[in-house]
Amino acid sequence: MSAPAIETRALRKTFGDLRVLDGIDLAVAPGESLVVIGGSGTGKSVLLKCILGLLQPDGGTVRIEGRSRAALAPRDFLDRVGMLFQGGALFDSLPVWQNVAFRHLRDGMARVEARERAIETLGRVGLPPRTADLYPAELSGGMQKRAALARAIAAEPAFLFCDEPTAGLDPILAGVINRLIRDSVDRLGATAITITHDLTTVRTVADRVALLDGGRIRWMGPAAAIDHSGDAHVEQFVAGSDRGPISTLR
Amino acid sequence: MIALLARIGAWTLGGLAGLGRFAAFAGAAVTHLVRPPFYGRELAVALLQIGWLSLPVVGLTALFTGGALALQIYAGGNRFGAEAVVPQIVAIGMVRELGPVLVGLMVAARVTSSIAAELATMRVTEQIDALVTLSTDPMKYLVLPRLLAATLAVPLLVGVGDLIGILGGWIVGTGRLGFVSAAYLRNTLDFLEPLDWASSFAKGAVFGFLAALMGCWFGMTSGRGAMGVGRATKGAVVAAAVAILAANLILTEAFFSA
Repeated sequence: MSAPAIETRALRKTFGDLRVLDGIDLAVAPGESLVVIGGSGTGKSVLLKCILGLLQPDGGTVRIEGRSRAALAPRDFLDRVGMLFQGGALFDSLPVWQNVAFRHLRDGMARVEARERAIETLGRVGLPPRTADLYPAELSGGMQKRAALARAIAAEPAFLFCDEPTAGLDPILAGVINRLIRDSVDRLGATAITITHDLTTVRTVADRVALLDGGRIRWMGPAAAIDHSGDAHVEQFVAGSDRGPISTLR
Repeated sequence: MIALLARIGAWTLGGLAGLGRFAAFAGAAVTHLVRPPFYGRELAVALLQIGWLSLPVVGLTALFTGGALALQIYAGGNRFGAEAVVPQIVAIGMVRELGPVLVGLMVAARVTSSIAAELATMRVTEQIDALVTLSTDPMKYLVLPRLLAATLAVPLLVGVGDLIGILGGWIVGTGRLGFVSAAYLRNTLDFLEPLDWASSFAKGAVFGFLAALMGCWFGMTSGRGAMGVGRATKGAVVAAAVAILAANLILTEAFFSA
């Protein structure tokens, strides 16, 4: 049996007195799409950043394909990563095509070829060629999200991470982004972790779902089981109720 | 009393830890000078932003200061019959002190603030995290080009500022104070020594490095939100200005102490 593509064991992270992650155990199989759900401020983004190495965990381990991430050279892992940030995080000093082709340009690809590839990738996320020469500030929120997704998938990553991909979008655009993420995962065969509190994202993107609360994974199961999990945490989350084990005071 | 001492101790330790982090940041930035990859396009953009686009403000500052200096020296020298030394004192004042310091302070105002605000905004909007996930080292891509560009460009700006300051003195000296143009220029050129120019350029390089370093440090370590960006920008400009003035005293002592 092959090692999980991404695995965390007893992952812990505190900020001052606040224990955000309190022993997270996760395993994501190669090619699997895991969606981590949980309320705002429950540490979902912190979990993602600890896996990526953007934050240093206080304890526990992160393993990538069976090897400790701490022992990997940063580029050995990050060269195979695509990341969609909550706000897009497009470089606003660069036009859209240079954002999308960032890795290619950095690695010395000819600008003409890099631009062509960027326009092709933009087309894959439904953005027309004319957007290539615009700056991120000239795009709408939904277009920025799609351009950011194009940047994330441009180098055909083996690992795709999405942080609140539908935050701030209307339901129709959110559906478009969810479908694009699912298509990208299917087409690339990438292992994906998506952070969200949007149930539509869960139903579209997830193979498996983990619910994070109080610094721990409270429930994990297949996406299809989320509506009849029998778990009080999941039922409260799905119902959007203020009554249940998930505290509304965070 | 114990609580007060504990607070002072915690404050001191916090300050020392911050100083240590800053020193480590500066050291890391410098070591990247000799470690590839290098981003030539980013360096070119930084040179344009820091050097070329600072020319108007540097030129105007130097021009007005040189003119005002000529008026002051004439008025002051007049009290003891030494008004003829205007060309020499304007030249030495601009090249040794006012040129480097004023250019340094103008760069702190224009460039340090810009670097700090830009990097802090990038920090707040996760653009720096995005760089990392694109396996690009922010120290190499963002910090090093700005440090290098400022260290290279500000000495040239200082040279231009020195010349324009002298020009400002010449305009006032010949147009308002009755100096003969040829004599004014000859006195200026005869009086300046190579060490004066060397000190001016050296100060420019150090001030440029400090201005960019403060912008980068405060920007890269910015707090969250608009308040974080504002604090980073304010802190960077104040720190750069103080560092430039302190470095000026040290360099003047190093170059010209008897």
